Amino acid sequence: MNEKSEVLQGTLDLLVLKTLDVMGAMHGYGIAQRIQQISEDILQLNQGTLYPALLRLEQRGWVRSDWGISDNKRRARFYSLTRSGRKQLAEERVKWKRVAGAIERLLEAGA
Amino acid sequence: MRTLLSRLAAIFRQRTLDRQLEEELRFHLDMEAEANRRRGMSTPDAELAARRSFGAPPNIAETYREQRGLPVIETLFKDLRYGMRTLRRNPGFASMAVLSLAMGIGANTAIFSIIEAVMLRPLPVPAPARLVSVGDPARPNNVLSGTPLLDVFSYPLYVRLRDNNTVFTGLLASGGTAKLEVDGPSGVSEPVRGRLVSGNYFDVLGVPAALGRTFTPGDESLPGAAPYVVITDDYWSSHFARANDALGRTIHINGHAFTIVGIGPRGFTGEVTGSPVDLWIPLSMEAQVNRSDSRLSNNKCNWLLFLGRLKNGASLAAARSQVTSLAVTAAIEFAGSQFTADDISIWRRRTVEVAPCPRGFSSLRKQFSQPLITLMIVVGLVLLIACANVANLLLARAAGRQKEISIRLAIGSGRARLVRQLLTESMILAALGGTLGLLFAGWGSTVLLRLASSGQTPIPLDVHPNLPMLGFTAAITLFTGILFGLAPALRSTRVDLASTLKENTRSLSSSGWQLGKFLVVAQVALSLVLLIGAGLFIRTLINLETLDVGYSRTGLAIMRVDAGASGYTKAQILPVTRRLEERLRSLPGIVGVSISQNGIFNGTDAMTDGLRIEGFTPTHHDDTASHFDVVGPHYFQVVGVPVLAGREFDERDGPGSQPSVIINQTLARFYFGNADPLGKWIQEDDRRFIIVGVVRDMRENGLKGEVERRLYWPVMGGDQLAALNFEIRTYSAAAAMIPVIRHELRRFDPNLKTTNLQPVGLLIDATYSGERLIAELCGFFGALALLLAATGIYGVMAYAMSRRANEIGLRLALGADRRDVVYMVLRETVLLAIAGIAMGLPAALAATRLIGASLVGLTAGDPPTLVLAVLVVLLAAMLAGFIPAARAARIDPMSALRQE
Repeated sequence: MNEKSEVLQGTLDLLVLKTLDVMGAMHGYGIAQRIQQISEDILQLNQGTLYPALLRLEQRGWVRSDWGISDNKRRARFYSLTRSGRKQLAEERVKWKRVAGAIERLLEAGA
Repeated sequence: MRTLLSRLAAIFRQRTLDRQLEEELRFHLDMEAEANRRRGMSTPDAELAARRSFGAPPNIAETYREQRGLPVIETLFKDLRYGMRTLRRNPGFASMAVLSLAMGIGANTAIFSIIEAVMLRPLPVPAPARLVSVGDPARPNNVLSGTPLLDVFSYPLYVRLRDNNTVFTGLLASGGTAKLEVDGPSGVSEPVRGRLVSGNYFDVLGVPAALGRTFTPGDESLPGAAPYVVITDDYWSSHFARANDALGRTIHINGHAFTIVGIGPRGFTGEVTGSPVDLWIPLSMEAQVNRSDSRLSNNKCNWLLFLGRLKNGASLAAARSQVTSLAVTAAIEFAGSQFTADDISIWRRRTVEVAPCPRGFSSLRKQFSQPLITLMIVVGLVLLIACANVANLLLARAAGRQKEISIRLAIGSGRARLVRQLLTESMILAALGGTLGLLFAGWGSTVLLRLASSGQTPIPLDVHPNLPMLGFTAAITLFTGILFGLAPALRSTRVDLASTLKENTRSLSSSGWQLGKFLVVAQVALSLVLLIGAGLFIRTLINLETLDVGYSRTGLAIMRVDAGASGYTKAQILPVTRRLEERLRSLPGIVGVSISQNGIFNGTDAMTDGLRIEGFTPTHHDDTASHFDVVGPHYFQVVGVPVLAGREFDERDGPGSQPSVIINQTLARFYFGNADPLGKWIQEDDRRFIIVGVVRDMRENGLKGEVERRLYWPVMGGDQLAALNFEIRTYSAAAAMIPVIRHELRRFDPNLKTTNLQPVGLLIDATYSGERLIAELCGFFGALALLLAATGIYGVMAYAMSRRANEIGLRLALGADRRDVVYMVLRETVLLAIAGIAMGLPAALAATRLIGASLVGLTAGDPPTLVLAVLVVLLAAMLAGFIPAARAARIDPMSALRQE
C-alpha cells in the first residue's frame, strides 16, 4: 500500500495553478487526475475539495472558467490561468520554496 | 473586493449556478466511474468508488455554495423569505402589529421633521457656524418705538455697530416690512413677502446671485435712491417662468417702481426660518415700501436685527462684550437728557444678546420649541406603548409556535440561529411599520403645520423627506424592531425541550407569561402619564379660552383702513372716516363702530415714556413709561369694556377741547394707589392731560402675564387718521358679518385700502396656537395610548383565559357561578391596571412638574385631572377585560375538561 499524504492546507492552490500553467485549459476532473498522476499518487487529493478551491481561485481572478466540450463529447467546465494567475503562481512558488527550504533546514539541523 | 462583488452577484443567480455546479460535479463523478470501469470494476462498484474518492457530493456542494455566496446575506434572505411567509399566514396579527408601529413611527417622524426644520436645520449658506445673531433672534419682525432697546435696534445704532466693531468680517441688518403688494398687469394687486436688508446682506451671508447682481453697500448709502430688488429663485419660477429677461424688469411694490437686479440662488429664501420671502429690498427704500416716514435717521425706532460673521480668532465672548459696549454707549447717547444718572448706571450693566445663529432668526423657534419637545416625548411614549403591544402579540404568537420552535431546537438548530430568525421577523414588521409610518408622517406633518398656524395657510416650513428625517426614521425603526423583538425572541427560544415535546404544549414557560404581564403594566403606566399630561394641557387650553379679556370675545371684528394711502388728502381723511363709520353703523347686524390707532390683538401697540404724573415721583425711567392708544368716540362701549369711573370719549373730544386722557385700572393703581385719579393730570412732553375716566383692564396683545399700564387719548385728527383700525361690534358672531362688511366697503369706495378684516376672537385664538396644538395632539395621543394599552390588556387576558380554560371549566363543573368567573377575570384585570397606575402616578407627577411653566390657571399636580385620568384608565381596563371575562364565563365545562 502506498504511503499517502493529505494535501497540505494552502498548497492546493499552488498545485492547481501549476497544473493549469503546464497543461493549459483543463476541466476539474482532469486537474485532479493530473495532480495525482504527477505526484505518483503520493498526494491524496480529496477530489471534491478541488471545486471550492477552483471557485476561490476564480473569485480572486487567478483562473477563469468557460464551458466547453470534453474529449468524450460532454459539456464540461474548463479552467485556465489568467495573467494575474500566472503572476500569483510565480509568487506562490517563491513562497513555497522559501517555506520548504526553511523546513528542510530545520529538519536537517535537528538530525 | 472583487471576491465580494462576485459573491454578491452569485446571490442573485443562485438557481443557474446551482445547476452548473451539479452538472460539473456529475461530470467529474461520471468520468471517475468510467475510469474505474476501464480498470475492470462493475458499474455499481465503479460509481461507488468514484463517490468514495470524491467525498459526499452534498457536503462538497454546501462548502462550494458557502464559498460562492455570502452566507450571512443568504441566511438573511432565507430568514426574510421565511418571515414573510409566516407573517402572510397570520394577516390579522401582522396588520395589527404593522399598523400600531406605523402610527408610532409616523408620529415620531412627523414631529421630528418639524423639529428638524425649525430647530436643527442650518441656513443654506457657507460656514453657517460662524454666524452670530445680535439682539433677540426671535423678533425678526418687531417694530418698537420709544426708547433705544437692546433686543431690536434702530438704523443709527446699526451704522455704529457695523462701522466700529472689530469682531465681525461683516455685520448685516434686516427688518420686516409693512404689508407689501405688487401691482399686477391687470390692475389687480397681489401680496408679496419681502424683507428690508442692508447693502452687505448677501456678502455677509456668502450668498451669490444666481443671475444678475446682489446688493452692494452703495445701495444703502442714500435713502430712496436704490429702487432695486433681488428676487428669490421660487418667485422667479412662479412669476417669470425663469425667463432671463426678468432681470431689468420693473415691478411696482406698494405703488413704488423697483427694478429687478438679481435672482437669488435656488433654495435660499432668507435668513428667517419659517418666514420665507419672495424678494429683498434695500434698507434705504424702507420709507417707500412702508409708505411711512423714514425711520433711517430715527434712533428711537427699533426695527432691525443684526447677523454677523465672526472673524477667525474672534471669540463669542469678545464679540458680546464689544457689541454690548458699543450698543449701550450709543443707546445712552441717543437717549440724551431723558436718562437720569440712575438710568445710565442701570444701562451700563445691561448686555446685548450675542449668540451663535447658524439656523437664522425665527420667532417660531421660541414659540414652538417647548411644545415640540413636549410632543416629541409624548410620541416617544406612544411608540414605547406600541412596542409593548407588538411584543405582547409576538409573545402570544410564540406560545402558539412553541412546538415548531422546540422541534427546530431538537433537530439541532442553534438558539442564536433561531433568535436571529425571530428577530428577522420583528425587523420585517418594524420595516413595514416604518415604511407606512413615513407615509403617515408626510400627511401628519402637513396637518401639524396647519394646526399650528394661526391663519388659514399652514406655517411655511419645508418638511419634505430629507436625509436627517429618513435617517431618523431608519434609526427608530431599527430600534423599535430590536426593542419589541428581542425579549420575546429570547424568551420563546428558552424552552425545556423534553417536557415541551412530550406534553401537549400548553406551558409557555411561565416567565413568558410574566413578561407579558409586565409589558401590560408598563403600558398602563405610560398611558396614564400621557393621559395626565393631556388632561393638564386640555384644561390649560380651556382656561385660555375662557380667560376674561375684559370684553366679549365674540361679536367683535377689527380691520385696518389705510385712507392715507388710498388717495385721500389730509383734509378729506377725517370726514371720510366719519362717513365710513356711519355707513357701517347703519348696516343691519352691527351694534356699534369705533376707531383706534392700535388694534386689539392684531400686533400693533405703542409705548410712550418720560411721562410726568401729578403726585407721583418716579424712581426709575421705566416708571415713566406706559402703553397707549388713541381711540375714537364710544370706543369702550363698542369694544365692551366698562368705564369704572368718569366718562369715555365722545364727539365732544377732539381738537379744541380740553386735553383729556382715560387710564386703565392698572395705571390708576400704579400711579394713584387708592386715591381718586379723576381730575388729576398726566403730562407728556409739554402737554398736560386731565384724567376724565378710568376703564376696566382689558387684554390687547396677549393672554399671559399681567395687564400693562395703559393710557387712551382721543383722536385729534390729521396724521393720526391716515391709517387706523376700525372696531366693529356685531349682534351675532363676527365671522358671519365679515362678508357683509366687505361688500359695504366695496360699495363705499373700491379704492379704499382695507386689510386684515378679522374677528377679534380669531386673533385671540392665534395667540395660543401653541397651547392648542399641544392640547389637541396630547389628547389624541393620550387616547391612542389608552387604546393600545386596552388592546394589550385584552390580549394578555384573552391569552390567560385560553390557557386556563380547563381550570375554569373545572370550577364551573364544581358549581361555581358564572358571575364568579366574570368577577375573577375582572379582578385580575383591575389588579393589572392598579399595578400600572401605581407605577404611572409617581412617574406622571415627576414628568408633569417639567411642564408646570406652560400650564395656565392650574398646577402640575391638579387633583381633578389626576383623578379623572386614573378613572379613565380603570374604566378602559375593565372594558378591555370584560370581553375575555364574558368569554371565560361561557366556557362549556364538559368540552373544556375533555380536552385535558
